[in-house]
Amino acid sequence: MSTTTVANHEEHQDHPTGIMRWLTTTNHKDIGTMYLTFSLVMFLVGGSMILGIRAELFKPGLQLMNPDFFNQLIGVHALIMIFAALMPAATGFANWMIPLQIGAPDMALPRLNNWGFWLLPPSAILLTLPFTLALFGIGDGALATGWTFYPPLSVQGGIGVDFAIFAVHLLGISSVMGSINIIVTLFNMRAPGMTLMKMPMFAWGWLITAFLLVATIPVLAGAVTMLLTDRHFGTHFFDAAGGGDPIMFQHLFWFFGHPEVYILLLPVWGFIPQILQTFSRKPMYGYKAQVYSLWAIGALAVVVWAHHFFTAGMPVPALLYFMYSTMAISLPLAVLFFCWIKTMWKGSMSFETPMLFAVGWIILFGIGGLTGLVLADVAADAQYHNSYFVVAHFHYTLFAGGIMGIMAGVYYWLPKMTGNMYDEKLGKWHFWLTAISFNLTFIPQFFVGLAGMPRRIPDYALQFAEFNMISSISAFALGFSQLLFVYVIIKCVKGGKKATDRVWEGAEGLEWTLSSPPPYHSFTEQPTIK
Amino acid sequence: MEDKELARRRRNIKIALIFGVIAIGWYVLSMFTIWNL
Repeated sequence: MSTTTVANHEEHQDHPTGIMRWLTTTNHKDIGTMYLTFSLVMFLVGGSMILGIRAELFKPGLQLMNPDFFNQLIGVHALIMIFAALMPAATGFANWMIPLQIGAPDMALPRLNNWGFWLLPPSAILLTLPFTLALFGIGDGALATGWTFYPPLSVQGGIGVDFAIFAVHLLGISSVMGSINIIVTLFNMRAPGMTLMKMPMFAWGWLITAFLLVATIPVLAGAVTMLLTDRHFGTHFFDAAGGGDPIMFQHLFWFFGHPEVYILLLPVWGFIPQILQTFSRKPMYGYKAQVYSLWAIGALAVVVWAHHFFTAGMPVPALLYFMYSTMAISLPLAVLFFCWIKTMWKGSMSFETPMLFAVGWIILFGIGGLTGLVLADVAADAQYHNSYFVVAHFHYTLFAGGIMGIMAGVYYWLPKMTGNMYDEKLGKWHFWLTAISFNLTFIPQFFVGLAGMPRRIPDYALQFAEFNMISSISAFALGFSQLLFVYVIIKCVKGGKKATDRVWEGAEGLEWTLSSPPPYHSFTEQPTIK
Repeated sequence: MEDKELARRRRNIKIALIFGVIAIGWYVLSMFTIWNL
């Protein structure tokens, strides 16, 4: 392989140590590590909140908390899991792997990269601080509106809403900066010879994600800015009494909110095919079809938003448009499913932990997709809307489709990142405990949802008691299973059997040509791709 | 620093500025559109 010399990073070989290394680092691997660590911590914080919710829902009646606190936990759980756990995890992988996969010495804008990360901890503090302030009699806790901030509730809410609005602004700025960095890196930092259609699928998934973020985060920011001015500066954007329109907020929010689902999933759709190809020991099936499908989904993602509030009322032609366009997403998604399955077909498959998570992910995410198709039907949605069926659906999409996908990525790349193999036996235990307890948590929620149990309510009718008990017990099992995940990661970081450079027998791609762990500065001489 | 690397860094900043302006413009526009709806 011939090489071309690019940036000489000799002058940066010495980096600060201790806390200053992490505060001032511009190294993509360091920043990736910080993103992933932050994500894991926030995953545990957001997860523990929902265990409070499930404890309350263990049986009918109010046991542990008042309804307002219940609502606060639900809203902050969602915001943390989406903005502080899933998105940073995907960004962490992007930071670690995109430069390695495209043969670049670093991200295109390393200082912006550092800045983007360090906006996250203050945002997390803003989101959770109102809980603590309330203990000292300041304010009435965190936002109790759910993660959607719907007015008029959000206009009337306490200081928790203001904290969340500022947090969302910071998180949005961080996401947009990260996205711009990824776009620039992929457009301008690829190794010579690596055309766009030679990029790894993970890079494609992230490129489309980054476009979606730039297209939608500013709209969310605009919406919550207007909410802030409605709350404190006498405007009436969303106040019907003043000539405003609360439904308009729903349009603006979901113009961001629906693409956000794909923002969380597209990076996963990028690396899952890579995992499937590695452990099937055969080339990825339908590379071009997958790339075009990702683009089609990215394009459809921004034109289907109103299916989230069919029941709010809109003209019949609008209902039909949003129904059909939403259902149309299943076409490119079906292409992806076929490609994923065909990649494994007749492969020499082995089932190490990343592959277990990837295969389990296909099945569980498939359930999430199919139940979404049901919800996209306007007539059926009138029944399902605001029920636990929706909660079960989006957890199949975001926990199974998002978080379990991320876990597959963690097990896949952890040996490359740390230089040590993780404990395979414990990894498999983690998979089975997670998969079983996840299903036992959320399948009952489909049933109670179909039977009419509304979401976001701390009390419920007696007939839902058994299913809720099963769901709550399983949720605790799911939660505690994740401690095993943390243990496996810590054990792997501390030591273990040394990983080879290629790590996995079937692994293909530039990142596997480097040592495990890769040197602090990699690809200071870019490879040329033939 | 090599000319080639310098040119690449300039191009990095140009692309970043284009998307940055799009993001900020879109933010402002999303707040203006509401008055017409």
